[in-house]
Amino acid sequence: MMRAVLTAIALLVVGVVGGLIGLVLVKGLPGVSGSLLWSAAERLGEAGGLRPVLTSTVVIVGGAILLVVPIGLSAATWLQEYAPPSLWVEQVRRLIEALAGIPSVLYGLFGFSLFAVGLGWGWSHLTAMATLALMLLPMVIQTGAEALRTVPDELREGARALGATRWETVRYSLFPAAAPGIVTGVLLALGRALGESAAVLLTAGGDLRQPQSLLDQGRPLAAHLYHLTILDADPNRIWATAAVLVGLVLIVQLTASWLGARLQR
Amino acid sequence: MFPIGVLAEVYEKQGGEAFAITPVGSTAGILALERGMAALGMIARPLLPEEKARGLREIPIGHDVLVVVVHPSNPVNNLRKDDLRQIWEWRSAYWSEFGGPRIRTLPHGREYGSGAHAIWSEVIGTTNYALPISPDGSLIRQEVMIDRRAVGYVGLRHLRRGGVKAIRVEGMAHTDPAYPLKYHVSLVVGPKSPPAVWRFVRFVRSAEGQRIVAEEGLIPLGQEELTTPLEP
Amino acid sequence: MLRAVTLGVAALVWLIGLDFLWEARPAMTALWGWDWRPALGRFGIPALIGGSLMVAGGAILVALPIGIGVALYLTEFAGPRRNRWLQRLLQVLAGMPSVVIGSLGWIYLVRAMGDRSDGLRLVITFGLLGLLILPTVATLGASALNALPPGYREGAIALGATRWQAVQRLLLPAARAGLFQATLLAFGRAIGETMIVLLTVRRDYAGFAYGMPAVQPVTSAIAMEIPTSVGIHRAALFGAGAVLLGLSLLMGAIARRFGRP
Repeated sequence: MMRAVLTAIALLVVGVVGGLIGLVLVKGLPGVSGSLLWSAAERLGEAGGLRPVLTSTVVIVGGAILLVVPIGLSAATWLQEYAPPSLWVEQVRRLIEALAGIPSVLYGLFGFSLFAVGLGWGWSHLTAMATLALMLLPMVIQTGAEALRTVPDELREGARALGATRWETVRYSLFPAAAPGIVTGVLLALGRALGESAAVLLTAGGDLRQPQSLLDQGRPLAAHLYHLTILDADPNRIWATAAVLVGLVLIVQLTASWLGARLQR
Repeated sequence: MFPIGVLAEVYEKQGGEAFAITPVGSTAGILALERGMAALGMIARPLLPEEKARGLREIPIGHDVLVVVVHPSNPVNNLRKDDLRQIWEWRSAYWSEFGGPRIRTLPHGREYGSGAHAIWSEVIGTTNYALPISPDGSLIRQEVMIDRRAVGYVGLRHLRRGGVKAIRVEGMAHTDPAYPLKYHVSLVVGPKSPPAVWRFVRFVRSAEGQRIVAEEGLIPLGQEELTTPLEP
Repeated sequence: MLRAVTLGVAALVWLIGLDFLWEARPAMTALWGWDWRPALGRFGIPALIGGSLMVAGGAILVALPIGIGVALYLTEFAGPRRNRWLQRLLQVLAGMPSVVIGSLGWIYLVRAMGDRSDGLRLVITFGLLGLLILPTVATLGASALNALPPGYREGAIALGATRWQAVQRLLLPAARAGLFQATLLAFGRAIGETMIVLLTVRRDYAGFAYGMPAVQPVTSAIAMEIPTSVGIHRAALFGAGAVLLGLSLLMGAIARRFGRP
């Protein structure tokens, strides 16, 4: 009896999630063509293609990842390898954990206040990528620290025994050993950045011309899907855009979980 | 807001310069214009005195109207400004008061701070602003399209998409030159806008520019407005 | 160097909070009414917070039974193979961009339903938001149940309890701290979600001032109004952001307390 009920619930969840993804891909992919992906947008994105949107997506998401990885890994390394076991370090850990719980729209609000208005970058690619980088920081730090934590202590002791400094140990034995875990974490962050709209809506602006500089406005995929929806654009176009977005996120996720599975072996 | 981007697209295709255009009704927009990060702004309300004092200048490029729209099944064809005020202040609860069925009224508005909201409040004179709101006219159109109770105001280009019924205000259709909810849409030039901006402005106010303006759902400027001298 | 970077990141929490409070300065006295009507200069943050709590509460009502059901299925009945696939599916759901759910929900559920029921429109939002936080409840719930010593359920069943009795009387109560933590984290995620509420809720000004289900969560108010707000209105939106920030941090802090046995 109980087994039947729980199985039914699990099947329901599988059905809803599988149905949602299947529907998006089945209804959307036929509309995804070379010209949709490569031609310029026209009429506020209701006609033409996704080229400026995809360009902005690559620039903003890629830029955010480039910003977040060195900062995030530095913090992860310090927390895991250098930090003395003391109360205030524990507080620092807690603050970083707290960062992970801040809603994305608030990162957007902060980025708008600090980067767009405060530093005068306006709505721009630069503002959006800096904002997303802040949003992704706790995620990259936590997965990075976790990856370093799982490196066996023998590696540390071995390197030390050979006379390596602490930094050399980190650089030449720990990072390579932790690399798959670190990369998995970065990929998860990448997926999150691709799907983020609220923070981007407040920081990137909405222009649809091919961006020429980092200070130009832009509209990445997820934000574009929102704009198409409120404009009541052609449903086929909405499905196709959703399929591109979901497809990209799925590819990133599957790569991450494939790497994660390899890691466990 | 009016798709100024379409005009910029055509201008660029004809070999003109590319411009970053920003909505001005916002802090970040004004800042971008004043610091020269955007060459041009767009606005649907008159500039505030303090904005003019900081060197911003508005140049009208067309008119838009706020069309009052209801569900297609709604038999009401005309509302007075006073009726609209009653509905917006929740003092008229049923369409039967205006010759419609006994269905509740449900006014949809734009968010406070938007140009459309400013014009609506000024012309209709509503003070008690408590109702469902949408961040874009196209969303108001969709909300009204699905709801027999609803009434809202949208720009001309949203009306053209269909699905909603336009009604008269004070007996006047929105095409009437004296329609009360009519307003200028303007480009805003900042103190740091490059001189090339004026070529684009002249293009928008040329016969071809005005043709595109009309195609995209604005009412073109009248002859006397077009002949007012512009130079900075 | 590494230490400075880390401390800088940790200080971000304070920086964000202080920035919001600084921006909210001009509105500080206007923030405490029960309705949010910017045109009247009334910026009652409790109205927005009320909207957020209501929507998130509804989402929890949907996600909790289903999520715990999935967690029990995962820990009690699913073989290792099914377990792995179901977990993977939950991961995919967790990574699903919320704007996709919101967009399709608006077009194919809310708009298709029309004016049949205001209440149902709210229920649709609960459902979509519940779907979004389901993975949080299910995965954290499953790990809470997994953390129980294995002798537990065998012992109970050996004593003649049915599986259901074992679950109801023993497993769920024993794992309640972990389940509570999962619920809190999911709740925190739901009050912070923007795109689904922005697209599906009827975005009402006014809060509790009228006798209708008026809902305007903090997140959608910020996303919708920041681009055109100036002066005290903008300050009030930052004030609302500060309150939401405080609420999220508080929720996280309580959840972490329960996480440590």
